[in-house]
Amino acid sequence: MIHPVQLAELFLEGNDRDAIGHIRTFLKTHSQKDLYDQLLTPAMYHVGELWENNEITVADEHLATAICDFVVTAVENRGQAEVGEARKVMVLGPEGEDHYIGLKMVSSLFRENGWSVKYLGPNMPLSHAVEAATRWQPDVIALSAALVYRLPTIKAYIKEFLALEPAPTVVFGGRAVSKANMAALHEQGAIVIKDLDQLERWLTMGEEPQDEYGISI
Amino acid sequence: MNTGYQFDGLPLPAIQLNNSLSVISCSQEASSLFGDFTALRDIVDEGSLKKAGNLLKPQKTPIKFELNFVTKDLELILADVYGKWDSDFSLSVIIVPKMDEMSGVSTQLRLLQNRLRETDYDLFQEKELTLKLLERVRLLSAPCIQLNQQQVLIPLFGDLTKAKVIAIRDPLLESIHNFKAETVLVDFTAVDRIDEKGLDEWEALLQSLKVMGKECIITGLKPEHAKSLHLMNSRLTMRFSASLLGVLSGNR
Ligand code: B12
Repeated sequence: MIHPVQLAELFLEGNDRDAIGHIRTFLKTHSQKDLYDQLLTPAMYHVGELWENNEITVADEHLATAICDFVVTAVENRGQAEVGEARKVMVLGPEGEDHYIGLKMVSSLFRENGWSVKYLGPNMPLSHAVEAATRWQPDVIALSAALVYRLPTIKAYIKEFLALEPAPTVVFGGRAVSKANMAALHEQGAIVIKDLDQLERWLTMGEEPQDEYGISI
Repeated sequence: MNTGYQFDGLPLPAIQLNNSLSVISCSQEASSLFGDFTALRDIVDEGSLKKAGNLLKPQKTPIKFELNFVTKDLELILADVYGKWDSDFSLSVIIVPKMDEMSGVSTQLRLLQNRLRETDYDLFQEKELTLKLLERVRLLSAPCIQLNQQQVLIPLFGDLTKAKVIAIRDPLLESIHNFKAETVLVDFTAVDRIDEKGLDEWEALLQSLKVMGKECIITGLKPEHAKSLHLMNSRLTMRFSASLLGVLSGNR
């Protein structure tokens, strides 16, 4: 089975074919979530390490991201039809946040669990997001941020979303989640979810999540 | 912090640091970009601190690498860093912001992604609409008609799928209950395909009818329906009749 480091190399070479081949093999014995948790996320984090070691540049990161994105889209399970009144989630990153691979994974996990997903993508101005939410009335809004500096923005988003009628549940996750900011966001009424494991637990354990899932770091 | 005379002619941010990476002097460009700072760590993004620390150790050869900085307007910028140790105690650093050169490409990329996303969004809305219409069609494909005191007739239309049965289940049970009829005639004449999941769901619906004390008569079956429904019949009490007309005329 392919190691995340090897996969990162394929991404950096721009080798989408081999990457997809290995991933299809992996998916024969693993779930979509395992793919994200055990292969793709570690591979992208490894890309980050190579940059920290001055072995690659941000230009290389762009290429790796494009390949990773392509691969996620190519292997995603879009087959399931949503039955009847599927629950609705809107997924986005705040303005100024361009990192979106995590967002795509989160969308895909919701979809796998039978949700109807509206993926607004990263860098979404608050006014647009509020407008979309007013029109579509999602049960949940999932926010993601990788840049720690985005936190004040995140707070503004959460505040506006929770003021909507009817108020959606707001979940927040991403690299920017840390011990320090979690309590503050939680206090504001958002559910802070650390990783895909917690997200899946939250999704499968049903209706109202217990706070422990949100804050068990 | 003083502005070092030897850097002032440079059209780029330049800094002279000591071996603990505190500022000895810096160019005007550096202070106008970063404001006041006394150590390199004041202007380096936290995700870049480790990299800066590791790469800026005293060494003979000049070094070049990328680093993220935080400007005085709290903006994150990517820059090339050129470093050279003049002695073990003095490091000269020139910072070349590369956001501009990158931003052309990334703006272009972002525009493309936005267009894709908008297309995706339009498709999404169309899909939503289609789903709603489909749901309407499903609901309308199982009307409930009161024939007389004892009987209601449900002519089914289209394919018998899980989604269809789920859509019609509640309204059907409700109208059957309201009509207080004893016998439910389900006419399959206009049913095309029956899939397995649809059949499971249908069986559950019949169970509910049975619990409500209703008798169910199925009419208008085609030979290909008959096979699958036959399996079910062994488990449920349900009568079949070749034609709707037969049941209705026997009724008179
Ligand atoms: C690839 C990459 C890029 C690509 C991004 C491409 C893209 N559009 O996504 C490019 C080159 C464009 C880029 C740009 C920048 N980047 Co960058 N980037 C990375 C890198 C190497 C990997 C990111 C990634 O794809 N991770 C993979 C995903 C899957 O992981 P994830 O986002 O953490 O998501 C997981 C979980 O967090 C969780 N999750 C995420 N969201 C959510 C949401 C919910 C609801 C839930 C439940 C869970 C959840 O699920 C995911 C799956 O496990 C990281 C390094 C790192 N260690 O993260 C730096 C990093 C994030 N970038 C960084 C920086 C500084 C930047 C730039 C400012 C400067 C630059 N380097 O060019 C710009 C900023 C652009 C902007 N305005 O946003 C810093 C951030 C530091 C900080 N202060 O926070 C990092 C940490 C690198 C570093 N060490 O300095 N970057």
